[in-house]
Amino acid sequence: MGKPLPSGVGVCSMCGKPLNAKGDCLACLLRTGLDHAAVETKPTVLAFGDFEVEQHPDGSCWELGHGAIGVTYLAADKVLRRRVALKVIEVPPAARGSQAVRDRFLREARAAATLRHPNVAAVFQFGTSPDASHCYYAMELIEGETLAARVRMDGPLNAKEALKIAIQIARALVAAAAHDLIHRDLKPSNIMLTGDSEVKVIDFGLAKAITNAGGEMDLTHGEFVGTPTFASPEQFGGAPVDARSDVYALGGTLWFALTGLAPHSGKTLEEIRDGKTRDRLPVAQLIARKVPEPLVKLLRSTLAIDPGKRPASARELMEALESCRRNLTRRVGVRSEEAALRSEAFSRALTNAKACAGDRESLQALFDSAVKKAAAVSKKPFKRNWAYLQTMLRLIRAYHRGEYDQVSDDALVWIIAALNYLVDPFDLIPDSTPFLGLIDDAYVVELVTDKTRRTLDAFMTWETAAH
Amino acid sequence: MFAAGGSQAEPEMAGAALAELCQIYWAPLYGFVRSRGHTVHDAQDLTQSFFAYVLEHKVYARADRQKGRFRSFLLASLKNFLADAADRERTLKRGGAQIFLPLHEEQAQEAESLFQTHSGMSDEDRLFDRSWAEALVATALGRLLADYKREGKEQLFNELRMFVAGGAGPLPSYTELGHRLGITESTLRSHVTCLRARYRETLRAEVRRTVDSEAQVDQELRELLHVLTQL
Repeated sequence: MGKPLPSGVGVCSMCGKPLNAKGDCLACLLRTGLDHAAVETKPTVLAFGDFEVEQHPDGSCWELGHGAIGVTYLAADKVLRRRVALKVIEVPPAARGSQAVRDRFLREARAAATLRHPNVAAVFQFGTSPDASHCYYAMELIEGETLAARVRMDGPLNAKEALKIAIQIARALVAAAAHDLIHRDLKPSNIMLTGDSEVKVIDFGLAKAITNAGGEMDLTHGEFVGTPTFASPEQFGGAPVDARSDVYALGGTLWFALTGLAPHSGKTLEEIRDGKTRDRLPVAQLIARKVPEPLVKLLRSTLAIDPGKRPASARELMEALESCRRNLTRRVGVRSEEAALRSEAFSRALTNAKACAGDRESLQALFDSAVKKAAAVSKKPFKRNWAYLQTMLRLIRAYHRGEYDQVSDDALVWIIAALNYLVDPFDLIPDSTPFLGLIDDAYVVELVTDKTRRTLDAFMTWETAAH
Repeated sequence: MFAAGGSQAEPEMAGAALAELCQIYWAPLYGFVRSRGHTVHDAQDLTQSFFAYVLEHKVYARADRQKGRFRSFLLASLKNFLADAADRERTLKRGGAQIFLPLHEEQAQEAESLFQTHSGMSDEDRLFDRSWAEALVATALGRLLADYKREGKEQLFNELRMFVAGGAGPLPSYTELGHRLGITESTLRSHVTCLRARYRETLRAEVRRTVDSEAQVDQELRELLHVLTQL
């Protein structure tokens, strides 16, 4: 742990070092003088082992990312002839002759290289430059953007999408735990998202294996390398770090995805550390974003100062996240009728109903299945559900009073589909009521009336347009 | 040591180069004197006197080049200078040396401000090194800015300087910044790469003026970087 910084001194967003009075980072400015990559770009191909860094047309190295502890390049694997993401880290001069640092890097690298999981960017190969000045490792090249970039461009994510991402990160951590690996630097910029929000976690443990080796071998003398915003409180104090630090960091990452903000921020390392260990979580940020209460509760425990109060493992966190998602699916079902009409469930119901079009018996069977489905999911007496369904039909008839008998087969198909769709238990449960049996009848009538009217209106619009 | 200063064939140029270096590194020396407990005005006088003494007596010519860097040399010389009370008194009574460096008010204020910022953070040697690093990078950035200005690219420099100088805010994405500047991402990357390379060369050239060999440039930069991590 470094000495405390004077209050009011800002820290560099790239390396976490204090800025000078002009707002410049002396460390970055000096380090650039030592950055051989900054000049060896044009005529010379930068190469590490089997990998050659690709160049832009102007001859500059093709950087994919640039952080406090290294640069990630787009590179070509000369042997296997594939493109990779090559992370190159400068080894602190004092650590270059250190067997301990080398062993630590190799141990972490071997573990990372054995880790294969759909949500982890695979590490293909690793090594050190001949003069031991650089370590490098080649990773699977992920086409996409980081979670940090996604949120920066599109704004905070909704709870469903954020949970989808968090669950995949948790799965990656579970897989890593099986290899005794912890990430230690989990943050939004280490989460790659492919087209459909599929997650790939990058940089498992390796970077810190070199740069955070501790003692005088560490360039930073035990201080933070990189931004400390998402690190756990125990990482500031030099205490042993275990999987619960990753749990904490995942909590911070999820918080960021939901709000676009980190749970604790500050201008200095000291402010950030104090915020994490002293301040209450700014839950108002979550409430403002209408984050569901169970998820807020989970984030509170995940971001607990005491590691003992957090989910004990990545698996426990993953299960809690999945539970939140299930709960959320039930709760958000009634939110958007328009979206619901386009939803998979309705499409499926419509496809099924259309398959039965013209066949009254089949339609009747479909209707009956809707009744059974309602009975099965509600765990309430059949009669009660039957009553609900009767109510729905009565409402449909009432809505089309006098015209119902003239309703075309197509319309009937729509109505049956809507009925099947309507009895989907998740669609009948309002936000505040977890059990179907506790729904107020009046509410159901209102809900069904409204939903049915919208469904039939949509049908009428469709039919008018079709004819 | 300092290339121009080492040229025996061109003593005037050597003297001018040394005078420039003294100007550049005035603040670290001043800060060191302040950290010894001298008042603002006394510290200004002492620093001026010291540089005048260095220039007048060609102290640099006596320096053993094999012993390394200008930074260490100046600090050791200053310590001797301050320890020698008789010399100091004599110099002060004489009203300064015949050769003197102009002291600008702004320069003096900046040096004092730098001293105040870091005075409580470490011992006097560390404070000196830290201030030296400040002076070094400020000079390199200043020279580079002047070059960009000459090329009519001052705005580009100001937009991109964060890629070498860092800062509190996160770096913008190339896409975002390229869009704002109205240039393609590829061109922007090229500009950034070029800026980094030019800054690196300018910085190393500055360091090279104060050390003997190319290898010592790396060593000097690493030492200064190391000092920063200890503050």
